[in-house]
Amino acid sequence: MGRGVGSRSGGGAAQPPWHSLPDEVWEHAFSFLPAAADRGAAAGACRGWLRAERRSRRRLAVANCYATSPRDAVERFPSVRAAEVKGKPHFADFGLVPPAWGAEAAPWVAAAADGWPLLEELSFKRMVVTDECLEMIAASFRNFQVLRLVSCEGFSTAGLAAITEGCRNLRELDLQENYIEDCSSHWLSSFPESFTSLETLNFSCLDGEVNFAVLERLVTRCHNLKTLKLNNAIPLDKVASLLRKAPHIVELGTGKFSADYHPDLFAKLEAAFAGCKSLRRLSGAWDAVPDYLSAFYGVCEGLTSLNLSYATVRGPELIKFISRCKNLQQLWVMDLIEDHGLAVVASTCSKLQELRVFPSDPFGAGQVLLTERGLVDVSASCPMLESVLYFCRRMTNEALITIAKNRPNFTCFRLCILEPRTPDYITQQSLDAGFSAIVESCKGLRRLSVSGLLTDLVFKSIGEHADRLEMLSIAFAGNSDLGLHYILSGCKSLKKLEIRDCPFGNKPLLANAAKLETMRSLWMSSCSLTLGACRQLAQKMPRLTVEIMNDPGRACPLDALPDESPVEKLYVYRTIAGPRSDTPDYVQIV
Amino acid sequence: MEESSMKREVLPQLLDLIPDRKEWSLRGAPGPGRSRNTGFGGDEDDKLELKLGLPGLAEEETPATSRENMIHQERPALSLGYLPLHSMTTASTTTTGAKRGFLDTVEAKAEGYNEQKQQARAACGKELTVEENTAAASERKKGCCPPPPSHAPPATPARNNGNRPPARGRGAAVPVVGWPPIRSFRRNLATSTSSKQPPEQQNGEADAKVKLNCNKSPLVKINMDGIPIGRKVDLAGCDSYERLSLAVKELFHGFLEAQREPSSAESAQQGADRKIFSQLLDGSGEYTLVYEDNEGDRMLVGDVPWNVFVSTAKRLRVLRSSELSRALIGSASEREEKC
Repeated sequence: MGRGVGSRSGGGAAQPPWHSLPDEVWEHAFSFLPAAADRGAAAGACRGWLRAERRSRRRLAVANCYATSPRDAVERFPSVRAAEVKGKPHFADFGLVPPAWGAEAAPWVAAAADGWPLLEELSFKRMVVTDECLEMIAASFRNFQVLRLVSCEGFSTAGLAAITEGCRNLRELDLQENYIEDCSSHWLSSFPESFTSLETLNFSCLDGEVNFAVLERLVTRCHNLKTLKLNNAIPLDKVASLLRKAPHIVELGTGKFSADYHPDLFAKLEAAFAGCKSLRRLSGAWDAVPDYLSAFYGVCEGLTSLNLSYATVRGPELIKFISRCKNLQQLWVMDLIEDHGLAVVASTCSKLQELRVFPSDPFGAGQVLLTERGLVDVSASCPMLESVLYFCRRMTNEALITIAKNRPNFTCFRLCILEPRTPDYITQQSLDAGFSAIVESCKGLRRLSVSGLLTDLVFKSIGEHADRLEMLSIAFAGNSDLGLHYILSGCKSLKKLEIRDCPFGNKPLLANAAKLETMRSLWMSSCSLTLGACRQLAQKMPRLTVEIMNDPGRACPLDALPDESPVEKLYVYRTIAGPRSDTPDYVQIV
Repeated sequence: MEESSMKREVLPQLLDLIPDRKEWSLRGAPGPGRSRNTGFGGDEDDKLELKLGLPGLAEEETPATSRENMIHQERPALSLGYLPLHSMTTASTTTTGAKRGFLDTVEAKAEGYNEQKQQARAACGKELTVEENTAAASERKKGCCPPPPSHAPPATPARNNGNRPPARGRGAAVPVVGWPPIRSFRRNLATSTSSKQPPEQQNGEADAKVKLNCNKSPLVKINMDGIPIGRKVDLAGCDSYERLSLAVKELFHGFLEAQREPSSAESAQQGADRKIFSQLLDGSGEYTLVYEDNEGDRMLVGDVPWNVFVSTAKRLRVLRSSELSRALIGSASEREEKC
């Protein structure tokens, strides 16, 4: 270190001044800054650091694929080994973004193929990934190791076959909640017989059969396999066989879990699980056969993560299971667990950090007895709880205030009361007081979703107190422009704001235009915006892209529409790449 | 639509029955936006709501004393849609799973707020394309405050009626797109059968195969000519066409009674009812039962095997046989309006 190869100071001075330390020094120093934000901050200090930092950056996360062009990203960070790119806005998950919106992965793969030949990891979320992309990945990166696709679409098993066949060093193939077309391609068989490097295989979202014998052989020869998440096509008895071949497994996603009860099968499963001493994370499609749940009891003690959110197991069985899971840190479950079950969770899982409770019957009549009580209990008794996603049907301010008092360490609090605009069911008041308590108490809150009956006042509190808040989701709330104004003029750290069905209009948007450039993106749908304001915004802020989405059926040229035309969906994001050129008919950039 | 026009005819009579009209319009205010058909007059209601909802003023939430007056009214099993304020995305709404309205927060029962919403909802249905507040208010009145004897189901506590616990009461009208915010993978879990899915959901989701063990019965709307208020019938609860016919009779004979002249002898009425409802299926009676299937076509009930019928019927209608042909033509234009 210090003087040596590449030293710029050249002379024989005893102590090189900081600015003349060779880049390698800085690059090494920066390697100790894992957080991209810190590296970004360092890069902003001076040209020297900028140069050193960007040339040594190994991991790049592009949170909005349109914030920059792929070529620019690759040029700027030439040494990237792992890249993650995210596409569509979050509300696309719930069907608010019509198909063919954009977010194609192809330009990114092409740019990476050119500029990052040593790329090892690629991760796409909410993007359109085609089979051609997958083929290009397989062909372009000789040391490709990790492919992670989350909530993507546009590819088929044929593309997967290209990956499995071509990526000799593949370690992780992680497919989460994608829409994959089944071309009956034998992607699994395309792993060469000599291939043994697999550590993670997740094909839980795949519809369709896989060749079990091939899978078994694969699992047998991949001694480093730690994560195996099966799809619904794999029946219970096969799971048992697989487990025997891979007893060192750490994370398991079961396949189809239901079967008629057979004592033999039960014994097989039990024995198989008993052998899995390293199993820590369990998930899968549990078609509700309580009879077999007890086969898992052997592993409960060691479990740190349990995802039963596809399990239609009723409360009592759930309770029996969970009461054995003393070391649980992450629990995803259906509301079938009910308050009673959550009370058991509260008393059993003292290490719980994350809880998600999903609605078993979101459009139905609400027979399940899950109320605010459950959340209150868990937040009272689980001192490490910091992340909550909770779907329920009723809430009170008192409960929220209690929760806020008990758990000031929340970093993520997402409450979804199923019926929009539901008030405090006891006092009939809005839930302003409750959510205000949350933001006032939880100083480290980074993500918040609000629901229920809310007035502008709650946004005043959020704007004032939620200093670390990065992502805020609002639906069916507020009374007037003031609500949005409070948010945009407060919330110092806000990065993503998504709003739907709120009476927010043009004024706060225009008044806080500058704020939008400090944020990653803003989504507003079914609010009270007009085209005129969007035009003004676009004009005022050239580094924002202002996208308007019309009904796919009506692709009317924007220029023809008057200023007063209502805007149904607005998506605004900052970008250094200028307006994108791949918009479909129904998206127009103002 | 013929329904609406008939309602309007009926209106003048019922208006006179309302004791205190002022109450209704007060109550009406926060209501309409929520019980309104999507896309129609939504803006009007927005404005109305905004005016009321001053920051800090929880006008909507104050348990209105006026509710006490209506709380003990029979709530007809109308569970017709909770329709959100702003579903302007009507074009895509029908694609998110089968017609599911909002769940009723009927558990949180005691409060009048939900009562009010239910009442408001009760009278509102797809048939109501009436935008004006007053008309809507009067619709509600009709729904909530009919002359007591007309609601046949007796004895059961305030909200219960017929064979359905109020908790089931829920609309099959246009659901809100993307609400509640759960991913499509989970959504497919919850809806055991969805005839209409957004294109994104078409490609294989593994979880679509997972059938939830919920005991959910398909409740379909059923309307009868001459009766402005519809009912809901549980198809899975009937196991045959005969039982369905009986169920229809149960649902509507009370309404029919109400509409006959008060002077007629009761027994004569009952006899007439029996006659009407027994011939629903063979086309020879005064009324005929038709249904709308999952492709939107109106079909005569009784042609297909029962279980096929249950899985394809989306709504039912009891038509006057004489108006059968007229209605069939009408439904074609109805569908055009709907789109």
